[in-house]
Amino acid sequence: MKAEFKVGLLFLGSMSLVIGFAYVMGVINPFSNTNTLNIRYNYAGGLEDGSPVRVMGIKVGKVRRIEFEPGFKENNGEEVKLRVEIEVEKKAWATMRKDSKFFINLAGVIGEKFLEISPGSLSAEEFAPGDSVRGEDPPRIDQLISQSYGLAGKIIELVNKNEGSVSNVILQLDKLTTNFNKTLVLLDKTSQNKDIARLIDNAVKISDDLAYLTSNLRSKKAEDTYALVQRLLFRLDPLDGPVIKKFFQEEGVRAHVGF
Amino acid sequence: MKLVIQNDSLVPGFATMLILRELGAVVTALLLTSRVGAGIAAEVGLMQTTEQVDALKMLGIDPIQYLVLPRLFACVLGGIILTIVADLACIYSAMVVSDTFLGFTPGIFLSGMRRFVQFKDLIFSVIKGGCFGVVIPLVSCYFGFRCKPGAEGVGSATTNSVVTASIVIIIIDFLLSYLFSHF
Repeated sequence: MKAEFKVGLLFLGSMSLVIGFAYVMGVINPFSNTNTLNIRYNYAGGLEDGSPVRVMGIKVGKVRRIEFEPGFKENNGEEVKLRVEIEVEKKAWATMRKDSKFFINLAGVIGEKFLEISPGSLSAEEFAPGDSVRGEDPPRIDQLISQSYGLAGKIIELVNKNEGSVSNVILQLDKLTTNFNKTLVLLDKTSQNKDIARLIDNAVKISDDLAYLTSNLRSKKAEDTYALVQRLLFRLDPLDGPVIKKFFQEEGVRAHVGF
Repeated sequence: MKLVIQNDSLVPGFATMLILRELGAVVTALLLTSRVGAGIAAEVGLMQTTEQVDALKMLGIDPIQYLVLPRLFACVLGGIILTIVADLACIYSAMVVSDTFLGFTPGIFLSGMRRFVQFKDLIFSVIKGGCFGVVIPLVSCYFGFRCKPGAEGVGSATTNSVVTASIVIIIIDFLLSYLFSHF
């Protein structure tokens, strides 16, 4: 075998290795079985070309490209300036529906960003390849931290400015707590006193009697009595006041009758 | 890896990145220097001491074109091809070692590798291999043409060419790594 032939063979071998590596890395994919979908965000939170796309936690594709579209507006008039084009394997395509949510999440020790798609409901329609959908913007952690810093600064400033008042309030609160503790201790001691215990016992008995009385007042017999009294009053109503007074006087009863 | 971050889940990614960015190209170039570079230096040195180079000049043949250029092209091509083979052989070996000793299946290894490595890393490695391929014949021929007469001169030229080429390779590797870190 000639040396030139060996070199040619080695060259072809190395080229096939490069092509194999490119296939493993997903740079070339002649057996592609994917559909594309456009997701729009205003903040992509560190998502990059090639970031994985997952449906229900399973990797089913990757981010193909991210583009800026400054003039784009949604149908509702919202300006969404970032277009993320993803490719999703056809086997997972049917699980994505029009009501699916598109989140940008973190995974792993190094905080790798990936696009998570929640499966939609069966009642919703499927996407057509190349459709565009609004994604859920991830929370701006940096902004939250910045705002927290601002808030903390304001609190510190407030405390510094009103140092006397704040320390006074704390002092008052301390006193209040101390007094409350004392009250609780007293209450505890009082509940152990025999007289108080007897008083509470009597109160319980009285309440039992009252309960018995009120239950009797609600009985059928009592209701009949109320009706009888009501009828009697109704009949007494038209009677003349002086006549009743005279009747009572004759009977030896002093009464003031006023209608 | 465990010593650094108490976790070996990043071994596939880090190992592959290290192989592609540094080890594959540099180790291949150092091996080429000691194997091919020493041979070139000795051959050209012997031609110089036996006045074959002068004979070429007398025949109107430019010794640079006749002796250096073919070796330069051959070394560049050889550097590129051997770097590719070395890179992928290393990655395959790392995959086998990870599977055997750390329990990473090839699928997990490739998944971890994709997290850190991009196709451009292989391209950078190939560019490095090509640059090292330029260095080896140039340095070897330089020392060969300046070879002192006698066996000692040839030996000295060979040793100097290997040492110098190795140092130049490491310096160029540093510069290229710095340059590629911006991409």
